[in-house]
Amino acid sequence: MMIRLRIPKQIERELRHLLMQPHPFAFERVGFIFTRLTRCGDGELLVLVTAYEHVPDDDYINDPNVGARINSAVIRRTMQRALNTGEGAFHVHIHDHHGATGPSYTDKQELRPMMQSIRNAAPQSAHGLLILSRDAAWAEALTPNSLQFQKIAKISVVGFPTEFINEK
Amino acid sequence: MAGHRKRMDIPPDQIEELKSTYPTVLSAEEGGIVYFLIPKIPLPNGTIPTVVDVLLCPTADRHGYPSRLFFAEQVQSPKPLNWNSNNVRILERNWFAYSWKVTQQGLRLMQILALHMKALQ
Amino acid sequence: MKNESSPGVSERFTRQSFLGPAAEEKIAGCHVGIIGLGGGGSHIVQQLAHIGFSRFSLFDNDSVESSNLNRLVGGTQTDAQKSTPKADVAARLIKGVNLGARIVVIKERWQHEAERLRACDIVFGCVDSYAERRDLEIATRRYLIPYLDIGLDVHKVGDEPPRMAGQVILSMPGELCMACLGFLTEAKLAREAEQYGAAGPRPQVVWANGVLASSAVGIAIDLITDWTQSLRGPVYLSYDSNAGTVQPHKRLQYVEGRVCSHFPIAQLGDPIFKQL
Repeated sequence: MMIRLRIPKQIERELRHLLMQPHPFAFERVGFIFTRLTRCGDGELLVLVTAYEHVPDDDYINDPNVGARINSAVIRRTMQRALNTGEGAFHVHIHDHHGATGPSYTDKQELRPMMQSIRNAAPQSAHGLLILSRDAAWAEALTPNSLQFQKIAKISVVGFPTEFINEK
Repeated sequence: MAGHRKRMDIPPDQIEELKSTYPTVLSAEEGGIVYFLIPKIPLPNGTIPTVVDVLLCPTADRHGYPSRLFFAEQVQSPKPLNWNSNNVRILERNWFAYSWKVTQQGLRLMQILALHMKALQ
Repeated sequence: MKNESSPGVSERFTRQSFLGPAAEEKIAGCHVGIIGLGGGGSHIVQQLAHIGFSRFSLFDNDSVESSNLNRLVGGTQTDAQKSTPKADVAARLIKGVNLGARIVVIKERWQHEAERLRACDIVFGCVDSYAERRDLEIATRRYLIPYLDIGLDVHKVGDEPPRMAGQVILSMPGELCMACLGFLTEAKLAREAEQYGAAGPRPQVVWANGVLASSAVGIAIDLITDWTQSLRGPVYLSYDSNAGTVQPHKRLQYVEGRVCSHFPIAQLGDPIFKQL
């Protein structure tokens, strides 16, 4: 089953700008995109990004062993929004290099369980991870009723220009 | 329809009036136009089917009418009607509508609905 | 077969290597939808196939008639005799240039298979009515799909020679829509509704369709390759066949700075109905 993700250019620009800002102690910044899920024929799924929420400075926990650690208030807020709106949530961060990217060991160990929990708030939507490099992206999603995360086959940023950013 | 036009603000009392007759009525907006979905509205005697989902567009719609009533399927009525909008896509469903122009100004939602339904009698 | 002087560029696309080193990959990976495979749509299909697009969804419920042969690219006399579906003509044309193309052929009106439209990365609309244009624009905006619309018309006023004119418009999600650009208006839609059934077949000629199709395809290429690095705002091209010109529509000067309010981001995706 193929899954596509589409992001409006204005949201992608906003999240890239915010995620590249330095933090007083965290090595990376993180945020969440909120999404709507739909079908696009032949069993394929389409995830549409409708908003980005940036994690504020004060919601990071000082842990030098990881790139970034967020506190439980962020997770509660994200779950609450998913519950209120039915939207899906994807954890987003940037790996600051050019070219193909993907989840680190820590990303897989810590972020996947977190997103599985958040899914309980809106099980009818897709939830997952989005990782950006400077010019590419990688994402995976937990779709309704599925037990495993599935890699998103195509990530498009829609605007001027329109980019397919996972095909590097 | 022009870029500077504001969305229509339907007076709340008219919505309440519609809701009191059709408690399951829902609304959604698309392309700057507000629509009211009334599931399984009973139709006048002599029509087939006898109930159908309708979509009321109380303002100038994107198909050129000052207001319009769309049906989930073509309805057979005592008087033949010109069903000139077939499988038009609105709110991700396909709808059907007959050519019926309601030109009076200042009508309430229920009145607009009633005048469109009159064509089926 | 790769070309040694342009690494990463297949030999057949050497002449378009100026589009950028990753252009071939971007083009091949872009799923295009074409609604309406008549005079305009068939031109578009031909050009997209030659350029190297490899994923197509073709929508048309009509079949070839002899009156189409003055403009239907790829259509033959045999097709007219056999009433070959236009979607099959288009698919045949694509396969003749690109055997490896993946083509979804939908011999229905797009409204009957609207979910399949959502898989497209760009949609080209080559339809006849303003109402259908509006419906297509809405369907593509919901699912974040850039929509390229082309259209042609011929007007005769009194004893003056006919005037043939057309347009190419890019309706980009997040940017000005066809209503904002002044192309779709209540007046036009109302006139069209009044004339329904009485309009008769629209005049159509191959060379004018070709101009519009080429312009639309050029915009699509720029959109995904960014080869000009200058496509950053509304696209509304006005074609005057009598004068032989294609230029930005004069309305663009009046919409600078305007923001579209017809398609808020909150309405992306499947419709959400509110209980009242």
